[in-house]
Amino acid sequence: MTGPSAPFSEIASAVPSWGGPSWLSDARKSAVARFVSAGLPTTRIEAWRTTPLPDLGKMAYAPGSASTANQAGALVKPFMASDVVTLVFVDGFHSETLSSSVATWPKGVRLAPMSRQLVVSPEDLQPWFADMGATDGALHDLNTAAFRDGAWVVVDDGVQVQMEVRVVLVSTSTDQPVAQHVRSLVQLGRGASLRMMVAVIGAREARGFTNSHTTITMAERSRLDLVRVHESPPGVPHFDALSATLGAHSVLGDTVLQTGPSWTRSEIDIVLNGERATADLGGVFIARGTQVSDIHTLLSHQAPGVISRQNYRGLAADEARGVFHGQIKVESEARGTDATQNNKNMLLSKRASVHSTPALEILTDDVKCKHGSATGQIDQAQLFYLRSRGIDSVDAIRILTRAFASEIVSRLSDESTRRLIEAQIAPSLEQLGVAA
Amino acid sequence: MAETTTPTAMSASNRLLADLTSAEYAAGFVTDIDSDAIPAGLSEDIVRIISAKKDEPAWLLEFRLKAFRHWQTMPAPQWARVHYPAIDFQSIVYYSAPKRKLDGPKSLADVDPKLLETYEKLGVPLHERAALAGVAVDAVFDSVSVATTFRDKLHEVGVIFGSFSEAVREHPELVKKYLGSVVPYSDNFYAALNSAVFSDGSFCYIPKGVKCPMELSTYFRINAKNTGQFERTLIIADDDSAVSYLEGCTAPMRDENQLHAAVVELVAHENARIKYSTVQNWYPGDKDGKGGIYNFVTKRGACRGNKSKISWTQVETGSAITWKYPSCILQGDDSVGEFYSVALANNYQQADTGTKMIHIGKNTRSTIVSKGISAGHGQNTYRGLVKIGKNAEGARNYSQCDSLLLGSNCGAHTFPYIDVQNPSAQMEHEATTSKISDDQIFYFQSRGLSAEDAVSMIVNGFCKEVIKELPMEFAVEAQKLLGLSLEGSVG
Repeated sequence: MTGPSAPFSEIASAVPSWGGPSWLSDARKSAVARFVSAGLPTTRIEAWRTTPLPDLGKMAYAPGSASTANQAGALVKPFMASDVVTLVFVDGFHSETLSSSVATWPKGVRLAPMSRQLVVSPEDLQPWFADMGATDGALHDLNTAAFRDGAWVVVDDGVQVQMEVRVVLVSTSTDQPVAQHVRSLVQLGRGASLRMMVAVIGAREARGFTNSHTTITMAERSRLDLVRVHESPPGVPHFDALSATLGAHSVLGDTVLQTGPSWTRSEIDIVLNGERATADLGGVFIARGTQVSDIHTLLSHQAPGVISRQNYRGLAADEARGVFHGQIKVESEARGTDATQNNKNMLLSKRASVHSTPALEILTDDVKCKHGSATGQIDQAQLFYLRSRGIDSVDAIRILTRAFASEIVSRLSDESTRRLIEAQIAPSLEQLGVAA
Repeated sequence: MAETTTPTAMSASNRLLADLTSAEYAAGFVTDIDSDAIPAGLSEDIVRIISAKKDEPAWLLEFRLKAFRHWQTMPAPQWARVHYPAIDFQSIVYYSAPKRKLDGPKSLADVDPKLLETYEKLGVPLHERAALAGVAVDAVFDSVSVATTFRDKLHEVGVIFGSFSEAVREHPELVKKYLGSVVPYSDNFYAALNSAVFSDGSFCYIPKGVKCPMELSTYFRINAKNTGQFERTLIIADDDSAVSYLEGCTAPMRDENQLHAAVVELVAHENARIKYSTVQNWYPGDKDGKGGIYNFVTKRGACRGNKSKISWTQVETGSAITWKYPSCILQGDDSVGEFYSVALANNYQQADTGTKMIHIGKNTRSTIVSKGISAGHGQNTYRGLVKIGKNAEGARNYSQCDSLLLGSNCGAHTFPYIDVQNPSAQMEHEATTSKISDDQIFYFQSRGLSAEDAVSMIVNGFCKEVIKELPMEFAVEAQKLLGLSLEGSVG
């Protein structure tokens, strides 16, 4: 094994000791083999050209250990409420004490940490790992090889879940940096609906690496409203992958708020393979310091009459670098596809930069596809307007950046969720080191 | 949508589709002419033979050999969205010249009449009647430049225009200074190959303060079998000068694929303007995708001086595969780059084309207007980069990429890369993809126009923004070509 994958070398030797069903051990072993041969992605790979991974090589990684860190409690608190179900993972492992008690779980939803599910009924999980290919990339392989826990959420046919399900991943400050590889699986039955939030947070001093993968399958006419907050601390780079398969007439709404301050990259991979499925996606990154914030989307339209909407925005201050790479693919059988994509970025400092690549690949003529991308600075006329009304430039910029981000936040229809998100991202907006 | 289509409209558009895809390639004849060719294959010896045949100075041979050695270390690029079997570079003839009388043609009168006939057939006005058209032409047949018109008239104002080989002989200092200064031999796989084996091409130098009195034009023709064409164009516009340059190309119809790998370098000094227009009509292959030219071209212009301007306009209707990204490096403050493109992919043609606008100087501006038309099984890709560097204060870019799809088996793809490193920059990118709707056809038909005319008007309207950038003679040719290449392909 060579350089870049060395920090994770212990995984190969650890896999056999984790037990579990043989099909999983086999999947892990082949994933380890693929990861070892490919190594961590470098900027020589086109998809990583603008997003160099931070140097993970100098850190001594260990697979997370089941610790019950008290410090996690305070961090998780904002996400606790009487009318939500919370599943909390601390340093990559489920924390029973911090999660909602089983008694409060709504009916029709099967909810469990993966660590338990793998022991109790691993056969339920096997289909998810059936078509694991080599094409998903090294960090996906690493996740398959090394994940120990995550959320398992299944909503039965026809069940409309009223309570919001919240999954919170917390990094705590530990003696040794912790690499947490979390795998979550979400399945919605026919006509089922669910609201879900995934938050990735941590203690300021935490060090390590978060590698979180969520796989979603949606049956006919199901609906999932997803909100994701990516707020990993500076010492914990965060790689996040979301992949979803949408059945006929299903609706997926996803809003991602990438507020840093760590290196963060989100990959969103949506397959619309049921007729008239809809994906309504949006997000904003707020990047500052020397942060790298990256959102990669791939929407594959594979069935007639599917609809997709993408609205992504970015704010980059200081020396931060923002990346948006959005790809719309329309296969020849996806007649009548209606796809739009919009990307707007605001640069707030001389040294900040943004890379935007809105790509279209269209293989049939019966489509409506549009994309737009614009990058600029704060509108000087708007700034002047506010200043002429006696607002100092720092506040004026604050108002304008908040307004810029609020178009994304306003996508959230549930008021309590929106309030929580507003409160959660407010400090990041405040801290945008704005040089007027 | 299908349910709103009336049966008549359907059949009319189907017929139109059939007509369009069956359009013939008009320039597909072969001229039977003796040619002086070297054996197929590529090695250092071949590079030396080409150089020796052209009686080149040592420094140029050195340049070729450096390029060749570098080329050997490079893998063929795979990133473009085009598919073709691997090219066997050893089966290509790298040099083929029409056989000359001992000293070569001194004037048009000495040129083989068969050659002149060829250009006559193509509508290239090499002869005196060209005076009416007022265009100075340099014609490149297979690998070498065969004739240049109006040289004397250009000489009077100090414009140097002629074949690359002549320029090497007569103005070595200029060639030496600028060759490879915009596209270095190590730039990419095909540029390296071209730098090693280029046979001829055009050279143009516009001195300080001169506005070139006529349009300059090069006409490229691949005639011989199994040959590749590797020409090089170098245009230098000195301070306060201006030039408009046209380029056209055709090739005979053949079942096998032929390779064309050209390099074009433009240099615009302070306040200079270069307008470069291309109507590319290499043989596109037949309707089953057999044969056709592989067109792998590197075109790049450097706006070196302040307030300089380089404008690329291209109408790409030919070639089995097009791989071409005419670019502007905007170094001088207030310099301007423009790219206007119509790319058409019919039958099994594949086009991966676009531009790069590299903003380095302050207040640099660029405009990109790209129109892609896909029909039959054609695949059309726009691939572009807009990069705004740290010091490009006040830079501005506007990009627009529209795709028109005719038929359900074709594809249209857009890959714009946008890198912004300066907050005062403003850049906007927009793209749309659509087909000609039945409503549009119906609108025209209800006003008494045939479906064919309706389609041709819609396509013309779609391309208008680009066509209007072409010099008049070329605009007419381009419009005709678009009509021909598309005749009958509307669904």
